[in-house]
Amino acid sequence: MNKRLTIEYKDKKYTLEFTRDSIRQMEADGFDINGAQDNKMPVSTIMGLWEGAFICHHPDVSKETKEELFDSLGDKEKLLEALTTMYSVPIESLTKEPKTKNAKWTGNW
Amino acid sequence: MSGDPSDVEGDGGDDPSPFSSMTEIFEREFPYFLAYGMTPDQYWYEDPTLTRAYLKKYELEQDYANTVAWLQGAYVYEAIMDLIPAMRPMGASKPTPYRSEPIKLFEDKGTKKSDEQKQQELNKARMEAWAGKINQKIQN
Repeated sequence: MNKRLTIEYKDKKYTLEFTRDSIRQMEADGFDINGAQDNKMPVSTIMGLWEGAFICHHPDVSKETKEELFDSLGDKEKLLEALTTMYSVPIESLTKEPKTKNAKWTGNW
Repeated sequence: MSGDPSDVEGDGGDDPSPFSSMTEIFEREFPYFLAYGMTPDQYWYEDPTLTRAYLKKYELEQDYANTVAWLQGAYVYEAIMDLIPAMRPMGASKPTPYRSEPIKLFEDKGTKKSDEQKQQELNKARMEAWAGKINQKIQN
């Protein structure tokens, strides 16, 4: 199941999601995730990621509305983390499910 | 064949140039997933995690094909073994007839007895035999 983010703002519900096509469109428009270096992401990359997440379900939402929505949300750090996680799903799912680690734990009770 | 983690991440093997965009990887992998049975719409527009299900499906199909090939080999082997008596240069005899029905892949649930049932039947037979012996001794 793909990772999605839902936002409710001014009585409207937005579903943010990335598909391979939306990432292809983002990159065609000049978006480059490699713009993020040393865990720091330039504002242009953050906004590119944010706006790209609308392509799948809300391609007609204006840039202004997207910015307004972005500004209205708190905890940007977590939001950014969620967006990058969502962005990586289409590439990660081209490979097999990673095997679970074999580490074992024991308790002393 | 792609669809392998090392192919996507690049292991510094044959391909000297790392990928420059995700689109490049998506396009490179696209034909493989078409071969696995995905439609273009599924690959580009639908839930991207569907690819994992198709990878698994491909594995299952390969597994099935392998089993079928193995089974066919088993039939051929058995058929050759059946013919061997007829091929002896001296004292050739009739070949063993080919099996009348296919190898049963699954046991019939109705005929399969549980270990417990088998043990009970065995115990009953032993008891009957023991009782029979005792009766004989008494009669004698």
